[in-house]
Amino acid sequence: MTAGAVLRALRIIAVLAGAVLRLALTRSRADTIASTMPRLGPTFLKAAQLLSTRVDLLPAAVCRGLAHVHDDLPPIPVAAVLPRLPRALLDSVDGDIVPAAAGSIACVYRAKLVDGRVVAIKVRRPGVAVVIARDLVLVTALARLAERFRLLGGMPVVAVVAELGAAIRQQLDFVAEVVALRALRTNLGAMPDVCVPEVFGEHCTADVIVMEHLPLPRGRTGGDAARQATVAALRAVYQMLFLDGFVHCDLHPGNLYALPDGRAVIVDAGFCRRLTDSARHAFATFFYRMSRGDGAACADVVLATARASASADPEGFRARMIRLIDGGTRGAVGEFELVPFAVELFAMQREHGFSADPEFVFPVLSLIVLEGTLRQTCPEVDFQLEALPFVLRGLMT
Amino acid sequence: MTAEAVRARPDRSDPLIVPNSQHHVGLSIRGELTVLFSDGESLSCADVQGLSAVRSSQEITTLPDGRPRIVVTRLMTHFHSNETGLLIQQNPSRPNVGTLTGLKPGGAEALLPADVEFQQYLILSLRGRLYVNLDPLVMTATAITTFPPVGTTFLSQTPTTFYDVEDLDGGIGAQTAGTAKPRLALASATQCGSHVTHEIDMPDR
Repeated sequence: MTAGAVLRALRIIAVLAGAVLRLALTRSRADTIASTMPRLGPTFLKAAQLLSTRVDLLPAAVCRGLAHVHDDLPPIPVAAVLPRLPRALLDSVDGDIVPAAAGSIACVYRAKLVDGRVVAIKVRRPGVAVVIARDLVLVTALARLAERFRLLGGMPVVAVVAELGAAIRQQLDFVAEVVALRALRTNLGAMPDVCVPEVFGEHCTADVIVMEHLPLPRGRTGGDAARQATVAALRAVYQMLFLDGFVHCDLHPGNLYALPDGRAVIVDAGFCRRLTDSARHAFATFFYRMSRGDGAACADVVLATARASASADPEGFRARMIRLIDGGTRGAVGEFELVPFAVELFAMQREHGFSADPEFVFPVLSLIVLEGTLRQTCPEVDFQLEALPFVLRGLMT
Repeated sequence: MTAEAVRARPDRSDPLIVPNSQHHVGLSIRGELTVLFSDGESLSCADVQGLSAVRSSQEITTLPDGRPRIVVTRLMTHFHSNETGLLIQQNPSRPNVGTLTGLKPGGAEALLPADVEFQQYLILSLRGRLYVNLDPLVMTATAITTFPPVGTTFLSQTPTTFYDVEDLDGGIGAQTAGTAKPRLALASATQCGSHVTHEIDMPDR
């Protein structure tokens, strides 16, 4: 281990120790988590954001705390960005390049091209890949220790860290993000209420993505337009989950905007997942069976995809699934709540000796990310009813 | 209709009429019945109307809580939509049965008011193809006070998928899908049901 890595490890341990102390003194879990993660740098910040939806792994209270972590950082000055932009792009810019947004991994700038197009230029922060790679090595080592000494109970910490690491590294891969943006734009092209920016590939590099600039509102759009856009986004997610099998897993409010005309804008395709066709079909089958109140058949779907431990108890799991589905589908329209349902579903699997297949986890997570926005802007929306046409078509394709 | 015929008409609200009875009724769809296809096309079948015949068992069973229950069998189902050409018929190779359960404990005298549930297996005919459902189409009516429940809407609150008969080993008699995928689905964005509009007089001879 190099001296730099040792110093970094000490810094991480010091910040975490401070956080533990603060937790002991204030008991304000959400605030402590929200203030600690940005101080640890981009790896932890991204990990916190990704973990904020992992109700399959963490207690709901911890997830709520992690959901308050925002990566609203100062942008890289334009002068420092210019050398990173391709020459052809700089030659095409007409006027100034203006900072528009800044995150832990990249900053976004707005510019007008000589042909009249207004573009958003997403630039990866210099050195961020090195920092993340180094942090992931450290965190993986810590995870091995935690798993060996069972510091976090029976949680498969190494596997979770590996999964998070892959997701974070995916957000660094701008070439993959360009592919993902294009796939989403193509797949959602028939949905007039959903916009995915067009990528201008001729100006993109491994560190830069140039795309159509959409006039995102400065504040949050409210009222009917927000409601319409949120429902459009929900339908887009259902299209991704049940039909396309290519899912944007990170539709938090920073990646989803409502235009004043009620259209939803989806940006930042840095965390997308492609489902196998069998996983997509299994997910559709689960929803179909759930809509029919058929808990036994839902259990069959989960048991066919979950990994069983030596102490697995399929019959106990099946009995609980029947009760869960009965309770979840018996209520009035609009009463179904995804997060408690998902928490119970994943807890049941753990308690009966099963671990959920990631192919099954990520689709649920993509919905959980969106549910917060949905409940705020249009609480009356019925998740299951909106899903129905997509579920049925998903079964048929 | 003569005065004698009117006098002969049975009291349909008398629970004792339920065991071993048979009736024919006219039905029309209430709500938004939609046929969904795999390619995203949907057909709205607002003008669906039809006929149905039901026979109830003679035998009454008693639930653990004391309520009486009787099995009811669909003898015939025929719906059609002039606008879309959709034809819905009963699948003769599957049982089309249901239950009528009195709301209060008792014997035959407690069979009304009642909850009724039918589990239906159908054949849809559309655009020259035949489709069957492998999961039953469940239709329910609560607290009916007459039998047949004229003026009542039987609701289906869940979607049902249908398979092309030619895709299924066993044709209309198939009970599992095997590798076949459903080709269309009956569903509704709102609660949808078949409304019992009137009873049809069927002379004994």
